[in-house]
Amino acid sequence: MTTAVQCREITKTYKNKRALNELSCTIEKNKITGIIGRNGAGKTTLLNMIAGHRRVTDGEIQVFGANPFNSLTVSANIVFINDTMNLPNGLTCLEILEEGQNFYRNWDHELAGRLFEYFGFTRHDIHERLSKGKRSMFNAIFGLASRSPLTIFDEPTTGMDEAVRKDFYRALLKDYIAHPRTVLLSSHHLSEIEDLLEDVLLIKNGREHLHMPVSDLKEYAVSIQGSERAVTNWLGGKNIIARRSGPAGRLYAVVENTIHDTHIKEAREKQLDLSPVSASDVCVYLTDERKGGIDDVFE
Amino acid sequence: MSLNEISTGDVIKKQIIYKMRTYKGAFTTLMFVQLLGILFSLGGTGSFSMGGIYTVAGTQYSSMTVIIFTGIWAFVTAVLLTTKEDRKHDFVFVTNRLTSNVSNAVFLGIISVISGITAILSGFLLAVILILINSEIILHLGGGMYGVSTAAAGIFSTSLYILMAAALGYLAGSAVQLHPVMKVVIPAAFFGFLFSGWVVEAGPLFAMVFLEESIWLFLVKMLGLAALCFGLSAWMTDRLEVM
Repeated sequence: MTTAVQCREITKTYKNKRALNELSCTIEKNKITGIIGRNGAGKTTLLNMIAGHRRVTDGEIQVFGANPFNSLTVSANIVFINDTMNLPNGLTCLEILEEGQNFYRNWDHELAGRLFEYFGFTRHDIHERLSKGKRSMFNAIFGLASRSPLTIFDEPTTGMDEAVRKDFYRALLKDYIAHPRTVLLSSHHLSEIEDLLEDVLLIKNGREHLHMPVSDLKEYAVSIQGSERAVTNWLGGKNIIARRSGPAGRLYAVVENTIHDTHIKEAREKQLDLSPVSASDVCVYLTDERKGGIDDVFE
Repeated sequence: MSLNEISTGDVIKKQIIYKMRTYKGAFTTLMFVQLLGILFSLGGTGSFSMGGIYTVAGTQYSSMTVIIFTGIWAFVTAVLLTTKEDRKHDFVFVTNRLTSNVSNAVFLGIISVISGITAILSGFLLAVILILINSEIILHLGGGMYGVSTAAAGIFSTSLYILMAAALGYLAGSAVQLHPVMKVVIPAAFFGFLFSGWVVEAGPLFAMVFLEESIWLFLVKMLGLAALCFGLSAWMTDRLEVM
């Protein structure tokens, strides 16, 4: 079995709101997959259901071949780290790590101890009293040390400063290489994690919008820039992702990368500026709902 | 990476150990509650006087206040176990809703026995304090304090009463988790019942259940009722989402 998570048309409704809308996806084992989407796209809801914390309203979800809701096997093989995670206050942070060791079969207590020390935690620290960034870091240590076959990080870096964030991503990558496992990593900032990811699952309005290797996503689109007329001519028949009017009759557009050498030649002849679009920008353009952009609000 | 299989019994055992560690604060609270109970008991719970040629008057002391306080403590502790925050904590580690409920029930059983022991022993502490503050006192020990076997019987039955309080607290807490309106409905129903005529009519029923001569029959009745409460709670919360 090479599938870790399988979702078939899962829908989740809260009271009147539809958080997920017939989302389907298959997440392969032993890969780092980024779950990317705008605020409220349904990332956290999806991860909550994969972890078995929430029930699906409709559809079917399978984690390691079982329905995760109330499955002990799934729980024993999953760790779910998120930024609203609450840990028991009756224990110190160090004691929480010791409990983790009791519960998780693959737990690496030596690694936990070394990370605990490296990030400046002391044996008397209580989770609730840590700063936001340190709390996130502690949660991340818990997630890394558990070595769960399915490790889920939902916005793990909330509140962390730049240096700590980089350290965390590096720790994740190193540990993943040494002990490959299925990792789901959600973030608003794809640019920050794209070097880490193998696959990207882009969620938009509660549905899967795109699911592909990050290397393909980097070549998914190109941008074209130049005088409005020339660009409009050049665009003819191509799949346009975004279009922005620039100053003084100039046009900027992003199109799906189906272009051939002839298109490149044509662009060069008309002095159009053709350039690649970064994966994170592609995601922004793809999930942009409003026409135009923030500029139009001010016009 | 291969999957880890884990048995339900194993997880429950680990969770009980985890709960004993993480709720150690509950035992500190218990100490305060029982000390407070002893303090209130120092004034005596009743007085008597026997007349004849000589009149003998005296004061009764009992650890009833301590036991009632302990019962309230167990009820509150059980309610706290059912709150959203505490359920979430279980899900940080390995669990499902069944193991979470079973380990909570066993944990409450353990703390009922511990607090039952200390509640009965507090009666002895009360006696010692009375002797220390009044050197001329003549003490006659009765109830659960006369000999080892009666003390053991006292501990046994007190623990069962405390367990009952905990089980009811767990049931009430679980009902609140199911729907917040229960926060109002349960106290309203309780006090409504207390001040209505029903409480008088239901008196004999309560007496039949809670006042039992045979200790084994009492054990069966209390454990049965507690199991019913825990079972009902587990059934109610088995579909509950963790947020």
